[in-house]
Amino acid sequence: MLKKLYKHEFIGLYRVLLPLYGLLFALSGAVRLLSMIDVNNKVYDYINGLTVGLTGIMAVGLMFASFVLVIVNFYKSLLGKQGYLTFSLPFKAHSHIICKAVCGAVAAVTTIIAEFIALVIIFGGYDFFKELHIFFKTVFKTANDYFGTGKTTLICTEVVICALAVLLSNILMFFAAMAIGQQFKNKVLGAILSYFGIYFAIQTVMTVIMSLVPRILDGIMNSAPFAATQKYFALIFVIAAIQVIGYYLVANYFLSNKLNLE
Amino acid sequence: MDKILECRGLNKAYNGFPALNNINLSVAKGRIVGLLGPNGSGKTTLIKILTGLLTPNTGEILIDGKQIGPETKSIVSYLPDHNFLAPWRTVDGMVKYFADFYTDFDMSRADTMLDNLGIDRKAKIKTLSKGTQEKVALILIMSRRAKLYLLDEPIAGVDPATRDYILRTILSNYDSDSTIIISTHLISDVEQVLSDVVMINTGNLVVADTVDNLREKTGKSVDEYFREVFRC
Repeated sequence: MLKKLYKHEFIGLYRVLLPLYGLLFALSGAVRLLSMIDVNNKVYDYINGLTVGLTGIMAVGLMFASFVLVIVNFYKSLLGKQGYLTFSLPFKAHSHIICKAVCGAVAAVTTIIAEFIALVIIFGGYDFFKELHIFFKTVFKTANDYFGTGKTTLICTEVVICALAVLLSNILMFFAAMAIGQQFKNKVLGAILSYFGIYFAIQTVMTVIMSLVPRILDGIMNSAPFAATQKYFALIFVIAAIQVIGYYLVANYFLSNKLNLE
Repeated sequence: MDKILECRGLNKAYNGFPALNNINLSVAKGRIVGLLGPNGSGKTTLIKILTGLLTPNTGEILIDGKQIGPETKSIVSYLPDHNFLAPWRTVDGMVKYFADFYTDFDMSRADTMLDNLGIDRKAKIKTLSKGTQEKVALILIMSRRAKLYLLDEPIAGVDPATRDYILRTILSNYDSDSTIIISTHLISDVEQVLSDVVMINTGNLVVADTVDNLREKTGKSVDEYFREVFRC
């Protein structure tokens, strides 16, 4: 049954994202095509410039749009009128929260992949992949020289894990803010106020912790490069994990006990 | 009496204002119950609690002997008092959505009702008229072979012909061992189909009895009795 919850969540997200990906790829293809035509003409230059500009706006806008979509989808399907149906399904609130957070993170990852594909469409070719290969080879060699042989793969894995944890914490922070915000008469305003409330509270707590425990940062900075990296990633992961759990618990509490669909 | 619903000492308040006050109620299986009361009496709050959309402040609720949760949601079919369907989905998409999540969803029943009304299955919900959207919602809810149907104001704000269609649909699509709770203040329209009445006012239970008993005790129809009790 949970699989179906994920299936319908993906349908809800990708019915919007897939056409946007398609538009980005089409624009990227147009940029590539126009770059291959050598014409000295003002109209051509205008069209070429417009296409490049639109592709740039689309590429930047797509990242923003995918994040907004995840948030709007959460709001509409749980806290809007559709919430009457969603919360009548045979699931507990936590299933909906986890499903929407995981699908939101997947949507962000696929959007990054789509952006990369767009780059390949525009610049792809023997030279592009050769440059890319040289770039990654140089990065890996530099990293191996700095951290020690064989440790770069571990660090890369840690980067990905930390990035996913931070991504999830960002998504869940919005969910928690919306779950608190629905208690207000104006739910949207309530969600915005709650978001900034959470944001400032987290910033204050982090500042206090870092100022009270300078040894944490000193301990990281004074370690050997590889050890310093490990401590740094561990710190990021722990902070993100605490936030993920905290936001999840807040969202779950409000949606389970204080649901206000009026 | 084999009970489908049991509420004991149910209380719900919004910001200190009581919406339901010490509700004790039992509903037997196989009954059609009219949940009656004036606007703001607490009917919708009670239904929302039974569906798990609201949590009571105190009290216990058992549906088919189980506390409110995914198990009870899987046997309760709930029609809210407004459109709740995803506007971007097609009619077919909504049917598949219900079929995916509710094992008691009867696809052939949905097909028959959609065909009878000539509803375009490929049409998106947002393109349908308000009346057709309400009919699709009712078809989806009544296509489930649920043990308990909770219908919140299903006939409010519709023309008499649609009202007749809705009542016909409800009566012809429920199994005899299922229970229907219809919340309404249009009593004369539903009186002939009710077996029990539950009247609430300002969150308090006023009457919970069979229609026959009420008529016998008061010598009045349910509609007449309601008008007398809730006279402004």
